[in-house]
Amino acid sequence: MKLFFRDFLRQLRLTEFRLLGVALILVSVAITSVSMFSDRVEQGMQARTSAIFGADALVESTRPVRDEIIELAAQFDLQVAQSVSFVSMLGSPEGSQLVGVRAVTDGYPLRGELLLRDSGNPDSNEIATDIPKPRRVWVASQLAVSLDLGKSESTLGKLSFVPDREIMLEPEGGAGMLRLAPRVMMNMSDLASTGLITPASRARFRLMLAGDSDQIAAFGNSVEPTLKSYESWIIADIRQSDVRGTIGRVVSYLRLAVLLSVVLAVVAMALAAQGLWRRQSNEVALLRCLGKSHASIVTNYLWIYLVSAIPVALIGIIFGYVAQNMAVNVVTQASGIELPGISLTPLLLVFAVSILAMLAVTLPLLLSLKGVSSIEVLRSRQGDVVGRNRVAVLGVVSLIVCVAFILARDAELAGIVVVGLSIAGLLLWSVLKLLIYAAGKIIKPRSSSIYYALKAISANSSRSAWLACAFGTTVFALVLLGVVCADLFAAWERSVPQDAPNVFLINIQEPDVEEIQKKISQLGAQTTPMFPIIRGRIISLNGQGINADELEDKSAQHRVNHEFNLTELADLPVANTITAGRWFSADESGWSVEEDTAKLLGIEIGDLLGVDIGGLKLEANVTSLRAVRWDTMRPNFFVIGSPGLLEGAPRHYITSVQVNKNINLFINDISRSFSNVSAINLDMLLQRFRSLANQASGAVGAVFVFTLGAALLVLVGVLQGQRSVRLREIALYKTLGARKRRIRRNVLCEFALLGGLSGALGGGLAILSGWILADRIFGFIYHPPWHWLVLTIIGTATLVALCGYASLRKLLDVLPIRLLARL
Amino acid sequence: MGNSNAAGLVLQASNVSKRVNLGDQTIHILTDVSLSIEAQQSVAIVGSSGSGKTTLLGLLAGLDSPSSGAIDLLGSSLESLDEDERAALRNGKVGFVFQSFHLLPNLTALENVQLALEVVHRSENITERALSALDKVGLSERGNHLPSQLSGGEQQRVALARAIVIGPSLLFADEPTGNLDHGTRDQVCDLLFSLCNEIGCTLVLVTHDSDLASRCDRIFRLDGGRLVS
Ligand SMILES: Nc1ncnc2c1ncn2[C@@H]1O[C@H](COP(=O)(O)OP(=O)(O)O)[C@@H](O)[C@H]1O
Ligand SMILES: [Mg+2]
Repeated sequence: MKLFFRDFLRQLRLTEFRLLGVALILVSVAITSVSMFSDRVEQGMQARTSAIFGADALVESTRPVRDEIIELAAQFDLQVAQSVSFVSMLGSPEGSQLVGVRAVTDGYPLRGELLLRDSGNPDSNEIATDIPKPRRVWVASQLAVSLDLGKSESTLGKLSFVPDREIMLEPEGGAGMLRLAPRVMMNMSDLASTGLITPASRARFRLMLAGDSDQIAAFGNSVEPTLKSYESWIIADIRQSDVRGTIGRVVSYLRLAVLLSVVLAVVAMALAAQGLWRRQSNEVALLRCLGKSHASIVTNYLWIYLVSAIPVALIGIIFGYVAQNMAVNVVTQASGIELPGISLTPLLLVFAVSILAMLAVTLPLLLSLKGVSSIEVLRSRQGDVVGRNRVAVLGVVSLIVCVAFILARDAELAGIVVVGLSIAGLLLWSVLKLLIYAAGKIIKPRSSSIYYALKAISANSSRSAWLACAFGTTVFALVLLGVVCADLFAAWERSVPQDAPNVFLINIQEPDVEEIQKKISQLGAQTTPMFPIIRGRIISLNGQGINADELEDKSAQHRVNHEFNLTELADLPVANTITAGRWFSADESGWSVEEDTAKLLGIEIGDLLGVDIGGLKLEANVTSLRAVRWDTMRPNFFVIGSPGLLEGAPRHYITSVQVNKNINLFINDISRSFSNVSAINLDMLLQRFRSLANQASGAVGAVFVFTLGAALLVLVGVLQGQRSVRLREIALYKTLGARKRRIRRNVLCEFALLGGLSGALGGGLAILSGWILADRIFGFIYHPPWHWLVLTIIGTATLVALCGYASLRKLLDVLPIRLLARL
Repeated sequence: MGNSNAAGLVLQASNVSKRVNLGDQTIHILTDVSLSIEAQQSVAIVGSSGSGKTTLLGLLAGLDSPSSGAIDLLGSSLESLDEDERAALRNGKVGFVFQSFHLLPNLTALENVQLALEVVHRSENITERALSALDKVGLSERGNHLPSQLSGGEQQRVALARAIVIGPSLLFADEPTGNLDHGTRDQVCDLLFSLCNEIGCTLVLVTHDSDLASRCDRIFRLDGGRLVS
């Protein structure tokens, strides 16, 4: 142990060893902070999704939930609550109205919150701590205006109730679940006495569950096989929620960033290790001369490297933890959302990756020691002994691939990154070789710095190619992140613009359309078009009936079994893009189908699609497929018909309005004037959505800093590795009589040229890959920011020149005799 | 010395040749070299640059193996040993001094000397022994300095201390004065011979400096890879 410590301290005096350590710290900081942070963000988002959902998971049934299922849930130690939802008429002194009733048991909602307003105090928003008392109901805003809260009596079936509170916001009430009928919430114990639930009535019974995610999953596994055809198991999954787009992107982005940072840091490590070994081979040859055995030399070094990886990883973990804690603080302050505590799994990952990384960069070199003949020490050729090592390169590459797949948890993302980086590296290397070769041929001798720089580059073509390759790949990673990052922000801007509609008006009847449009324009409010809404069901494809039971996929079954909203439109809605076929031309008739739905049901362009609209059967050809961005707070549709295609089908209209002030006044006004129109207030949801985007952008900015750090480390690693060769070169120039100014100019010129070249190639490739990533992973349309390229080229040329100069400045000042002594 | 055989020979080479293949061309670096060196003798190998001196030294020390011929080092026949076994043979009995010093840049002068003791697992009084070796070369004051803070002559003296600290029975020196100026050259030479005498070790010295060679008991002259006398 003491010996180890001594050897470790001796190694620590080597710049290359310290560089290796710093690179490893960066690897572990990057992994710790980003994986912890993205884990926490992801879990926080999951909690949010559950909140919107009201539970972590649920069993939904068209009949009362069976006792066996409830007992099973108790065995798994899960929290439970039940709800029954159905449509009924609410009788009141002012007449009766269609309402969506929900009867709930104690504990509802298990996740998220129910926001209420008291009858006495119109400005109070409070979070419900219980459920409606027996013989009391809580009602949605649009009912509350017409009912005298706390006094008037309303009837549901055979029972009379006193509405006493107004529901401002409830779970399961997101924008994606537009309800036709305003909500009435009651206590489950009253349900039987209303006499509304009979075996024939169409109600939705839900057993809502909450608990530890493992327990939920375990319960799901055991309950799913026992479910009857009328029951289904639903999990609150981020991927299926409204916020899926945004969160998915943030998490993907964070993963991409950590992936690139780790890759860069590992590259820096590999560079440092190579430099270290150029020195170490010297030491090894000497030790061999002194009579030390091969095996004991290898073991000795291996110990030092592996054991020192542990404290180094620990330092990284501490830094990483602090960093992600700071990030979390920023997020919680910005958004008021609590993120869950840390889990320890990332820590194990960090240790594993740190040790693996250390092994990957040093073991191949250690093994190449066999090739270090002790005779080398007699010739002054040490340094060239451990040359380019294919095994080493292979080791690092395979490690990077492993890390990529572990961290990304997304094979496609990891694949794109790994393949992209490899292609970038390869391409850079070959293009540079070619350019250097060409430059060497073309440039005419002249006594300019550019000439000497080019000469230096082409004379050391291999060194220059590697250098530019490392720089280029670094630039590639940085620009890629920057580009994707900028577009991510732009996408959020687009999805929740400042003027996003905040009130949805639904269930507008045909005769009221004009009247309502007038009201909205009086208000001077922004509005989207009136979308006709027609309820329908897909029944046939190419003349053949579709039988839900024959479909494998659950979501496909659901899509066929259930009615959904259709519309007919002349113009392609905002946030929709045609992915196949063409949008309807003037008097063409046909369907435009959302692409995921099309994939699910196997619908292709030109297929004859049959739809049943309340008994009216319609067939038309599919003329286009659309990609839809769901997170835009606008009405979106799976199937759109050409104008006039659905003529005669019963319909109502929806629209969305942006009301700037007095939202409640506007909603009250609409509800009073048009009794069957439901006005839904989305303001709260929008605010949450915006805070989410803020939170995400903070995280993204923080992560970028890490990648930048890793990139700088690569730069330092490359330059450090060159020092001894440069030293010889400068000494030679000086002995030949070159002046310091001249050497400095040549060096600056050489680095600037290399930097510019790598910037151009790396940046260009990055923009290209950003385009692929945007399309495949982040799902938005991409406008290549070519002006970035110019900035990148100038930026890298300057940065590389300055860093290169800084690293060699000291060498320039040294007297030539001193330089010779060090040779 | 227990390792030398009856005739007092510590080193014997018979018909040693070294060839390397460069592409389709075979280069004969050494051809049929035979020599024997007795214990406590000092021997110089001289010749012009490129005549094969370093190669011969490397072969004699077991750092490399000959293409043909046999070498007997300290009573062991080298061809029967693999690289690690040859290293074990050198361990603690053979010291080296190189033209370009080869001090480890990250170790101080003292640590560089200690390193030799550590490698041969002489763990008692490492510091004292290393210090006394430094003292013998007149550098006990500079023990804490890094090689980069020492002049060429001083570095070579540290290397000399490193070579003799283990009390070797054989010391190989490859142009130990090649990188030094006149003044320091004599100083290092004097030290080399006096220290070797003091511990009673055999000195095998490669040089093209005839002054230095003339101070040795015997001189072998190499020309184009062959011994000429
Ligand atoms: N590994 C090798 N490959 C090719 N040529 C070699 C090799 N080692 C030595 N030589 C050649 O052998 C000759 C002798 O080298 P060396 O023993 O170093 O000479 P000296 O030390 O006398 O200057 C030189 O011409 C050198 O170029
Ligand atoms: Mg030589």
